[in-house]
Amino acid sequence: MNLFKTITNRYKMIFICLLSSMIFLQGCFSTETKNIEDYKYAVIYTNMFEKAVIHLYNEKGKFLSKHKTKYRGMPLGAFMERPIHMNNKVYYANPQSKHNTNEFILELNKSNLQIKEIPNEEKIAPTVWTVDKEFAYMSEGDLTSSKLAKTNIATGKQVASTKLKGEANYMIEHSDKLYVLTFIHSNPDDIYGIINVINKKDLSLIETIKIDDMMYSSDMELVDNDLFLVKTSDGKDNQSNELIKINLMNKKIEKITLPFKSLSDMHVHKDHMFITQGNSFLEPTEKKIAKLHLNSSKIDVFTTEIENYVSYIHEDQFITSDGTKIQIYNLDNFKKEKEFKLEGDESLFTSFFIND
Amino acid sequence: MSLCMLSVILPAVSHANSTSSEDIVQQQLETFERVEKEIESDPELVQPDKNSSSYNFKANNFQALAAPSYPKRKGVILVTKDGKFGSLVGHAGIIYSETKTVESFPEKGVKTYDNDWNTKYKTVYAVTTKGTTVAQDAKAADRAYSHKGKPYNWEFTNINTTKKFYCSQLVYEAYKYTTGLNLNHSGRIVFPIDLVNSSHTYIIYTKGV
Repeated sequence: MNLFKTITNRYKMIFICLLSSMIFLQGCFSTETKNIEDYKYAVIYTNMFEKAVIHLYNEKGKFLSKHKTKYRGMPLGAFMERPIHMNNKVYYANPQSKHNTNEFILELNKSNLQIKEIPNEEKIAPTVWTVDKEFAYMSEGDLTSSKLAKTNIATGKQVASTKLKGEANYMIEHSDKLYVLTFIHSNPDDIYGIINVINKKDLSLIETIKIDDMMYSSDMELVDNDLFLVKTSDGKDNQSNELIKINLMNKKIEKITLPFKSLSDMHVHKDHMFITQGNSFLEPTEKKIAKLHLNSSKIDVFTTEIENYVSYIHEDQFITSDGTKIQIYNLDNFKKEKEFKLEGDESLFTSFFIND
Repeated sequence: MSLCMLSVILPAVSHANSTSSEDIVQQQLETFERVEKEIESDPELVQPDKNSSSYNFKANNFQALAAPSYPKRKGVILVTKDGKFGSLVGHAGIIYSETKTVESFPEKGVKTYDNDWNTKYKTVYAVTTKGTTVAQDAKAADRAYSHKGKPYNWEFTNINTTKKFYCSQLVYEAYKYTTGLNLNHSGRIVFPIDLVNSSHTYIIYTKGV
């Protein structure tokens, strides 16, 4: 009887220990795994020396959890800091960490927040990049020339590479072509841009289009046959208020003057282009948004309450953040519909993305 | 307090007396801390840039203080105390344009980078040189850029070579070559903090200090 009791007590002890361990382990990992499927917004904090932390929020703006990554500085140091969304993945530049350079871009799986490196074999720390469903295109250069590499995202193998004249500043892809903007600095009194139209298959150069008096662009968008560029700096390094529209069929270049300078990002939505005001120095702006009607060229200007450091047009709404709040605006009249405060972090706010 | 006084009060890192890399690192950190304390007690040590409307070129002094903003002018020197390269505390670079800098990093050597120091570093100092014009400063940036593609110089005491560069040596050489100013008064190694602490420079912007 005593022996039976002793055995029963031992089992009880083992059961209690196991139960305690399970509760303890669940407590340890709950902040890392809870609610990953439920989140709507993911906010990234990092700097060059601190690993990026991702804060998750639900649709109502309730903070859910935070998740550490092993990557520092994403996407700082890149000329193209905006993420690219493709299916269930979001891609980020990460050319610099600590005092080192990184020869890859990052693919973040929105479902589980796992991050994968997409490398290249040309020792390119991508400051300029894009992706399509199958390949990543990465570039980096100095004021004279730039390397461009193409890597298969699934295998991580580089499949093509080339060299371009001038300093790569921006690139977008569409259909079977890449459009890479480079700047030619050979004459300091005549700095200009070149659109390199490139065959995506083998990276061969198809043609070039010259754009005068330009030194930097913070965004490019293709709308039908028109390529739009934000003229962030002119050839003399002064801020500009011009949008450049290039007809890719007849190569005609049109300048659209906007009512403010410090042009940052473009968002295309139906018949409109929305251009935000901002700068990479995080300096205060008038927080203006230009709404350009693409057919009539009519321009309306709105103002947001917060700086638009990172913004999206998503489900017919303008969603923006300055790192302290996320605000959502009506696209027709730019009335604020919703906002919520962000928890913040010791590191710097660098980006956010939306989980569809 | 004048900026000259700052330089007198804050002794430069003593390279000659240093016996170990730990000592050298410690001395640099202490000098950064002293500069921070001086700025905290006298915010007017951060002066308007020389192209600012507050600057009187004729009198070579400042008439009024303006709120400093992150600099974009070609030739402005950038320094951070974040991180380390061997025994060098922090990092230094020079602005090439509103959107680009010229810097030297171990893996890529001398190259242009995005001018976004105030978004990627916790601490930033921007300094400029006394007695030079904005055109001379721009030439210093061009000189730094002319070294593009050259490798990183791990031989920190070899500051006279132009075949390889570490970060603060690149800035030092660019200004010495184009303006004759020696931003490294005190010893063999040019530390990033030397560029802030030099009697030839003054601070025009700080972040996280």
